[in-house]
Amino acid sequence: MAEERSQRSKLGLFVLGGTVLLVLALYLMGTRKDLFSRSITISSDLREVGGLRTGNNVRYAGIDVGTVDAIEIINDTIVRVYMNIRMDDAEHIRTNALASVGTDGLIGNKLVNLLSGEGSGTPVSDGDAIRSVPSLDTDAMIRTLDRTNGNLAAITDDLRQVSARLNDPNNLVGMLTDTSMGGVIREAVYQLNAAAGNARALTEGVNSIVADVEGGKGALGVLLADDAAEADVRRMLSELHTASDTLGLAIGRIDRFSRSLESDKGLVHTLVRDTALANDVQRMMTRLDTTTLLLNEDLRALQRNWLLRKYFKEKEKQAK
Amino acid sequence: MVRSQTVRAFVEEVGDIASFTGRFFREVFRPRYEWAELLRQSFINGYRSLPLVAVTAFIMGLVLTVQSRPTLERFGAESMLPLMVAISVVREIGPVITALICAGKIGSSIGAELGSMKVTEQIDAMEVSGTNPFKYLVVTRVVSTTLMVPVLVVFADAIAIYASYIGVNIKGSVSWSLFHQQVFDSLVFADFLPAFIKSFFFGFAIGIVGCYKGFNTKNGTEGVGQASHSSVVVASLVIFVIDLIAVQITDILGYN
Repeated sequence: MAEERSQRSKLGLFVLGGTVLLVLALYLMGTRKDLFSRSITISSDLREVGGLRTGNNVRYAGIDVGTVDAIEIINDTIVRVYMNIRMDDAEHIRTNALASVGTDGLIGNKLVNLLSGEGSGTPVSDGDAIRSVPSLDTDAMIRTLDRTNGNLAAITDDLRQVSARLNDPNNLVGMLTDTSMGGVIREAVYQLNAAAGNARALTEGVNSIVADVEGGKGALGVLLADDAAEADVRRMLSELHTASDTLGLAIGRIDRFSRSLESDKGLVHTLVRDTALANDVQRMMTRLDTTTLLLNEDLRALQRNWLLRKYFKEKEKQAK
Repeated sequence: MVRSQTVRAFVEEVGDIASFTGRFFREVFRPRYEWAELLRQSFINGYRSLPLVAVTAFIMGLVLTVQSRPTLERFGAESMLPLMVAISVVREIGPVITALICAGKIGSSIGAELGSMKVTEQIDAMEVSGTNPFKYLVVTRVVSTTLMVPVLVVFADAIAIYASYIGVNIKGSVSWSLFHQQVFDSLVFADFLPAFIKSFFFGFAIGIVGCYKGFNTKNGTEGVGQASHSSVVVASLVIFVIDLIAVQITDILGYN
């Protein structure tokens, strides 16, 4: 009987010990998940939560202040995360706080980070919604890093080529390292300086001319500044235009005339081009000249004739 | 021919165990209840198994921590050693190792005890004297193992985690406060409850297999050894099968 009581006592201790351990473990786990403390629930809308799960921690300023209570898909671009925040910590979190999904360490659990927002806000209360900021996505970071590595490889390759060219004495940089190039460049700079002086003087001269023209000095100035001269020039141009038209007509006529001269028909061509006729005319003129001399003699003789003497005397009297 | 006989024997044994289990559920809710025997069996199966389970759990936690450290150091995640060991122990290693230890100690004990009672016709004598041997011998043992194994698992988890704390401090320096924080920060109910619930099934399997083997012992004293041996083997196998089913169910329910 005594042994049986002893066995029962030991069994009772054994079962009680196990039960206490079980309850303690459940209590400690529950405490971590804020099951036995007063808390409020706030929410935040995020675009994506990157594997966040119910029960993950919520951190504010690096301190665990609560846990994720629920995650709900609102629509295709919004996921709403409900967070249980311990009442004691809630008074430090303002309504302008920002929520983002992060990771506990590099390979740790996902968590929600609450960040202080700019400006002032009131402490959050049960049911409040706070804004969110996009979280750093490790996959996106690695993708970006991969792209950056590619760019770095390309840049390094370019730098290698540039370095090889820098070491080549036949290119510009090689020339620059030549000690005699200093004197050449210095002389070139002197020449450039002198050219710049000349250019400056030239520019000043041009400026002076332009000033004179603008002031109406000189022929160009008169042309540009005097209205009467402008009218004269316009008229002259108009007359020139008319004259050119007339000249054009005349040239056309001359052209037609010259063509008619070129033609083997017509009197003019015969007169101008026919050499036999010219000889005939020359001969005729010679004869005509001879004939004229003879005719003159005949006429003088005729004037002395008695038949016509009277007529010539009357004509002399009228002339007097 | 031999193979077909083996398969047939296996199928028959599965059917017999199922029938035996059905009889257990019929008897367990019917009065009269053997409370005194249940407490005595719980003392034997629970309390007396604690030292063995405690030593095993302590070594398990310590070795797991020491063995895991180099791998985690390679990833620069040495600080995650407490939570890794805690999750491993609570989710899987604690329940399974405890159940296997119990299968070895309790299962063989039940098989041998009931087997010897069977071959010496004590069970038949109980029936003649008006005592229901199934209720007195089987129901009390199965219920005690079903209730005691989860308690042993809780002890084993606690001891293994404490051993892990010692293991962490062999090569490092972590305060108990920080260790405790890291362990319970990482553990959630989804880690603990499925493992705790499946330990009831482990205990039930150990008890029912041990009782079945002992209750059906044949061939005299030679059969007693055979019953003891086969109850350990079959119970261990059933524990792994239950573990496989449990992990599938927890996965389906989203607790993994």
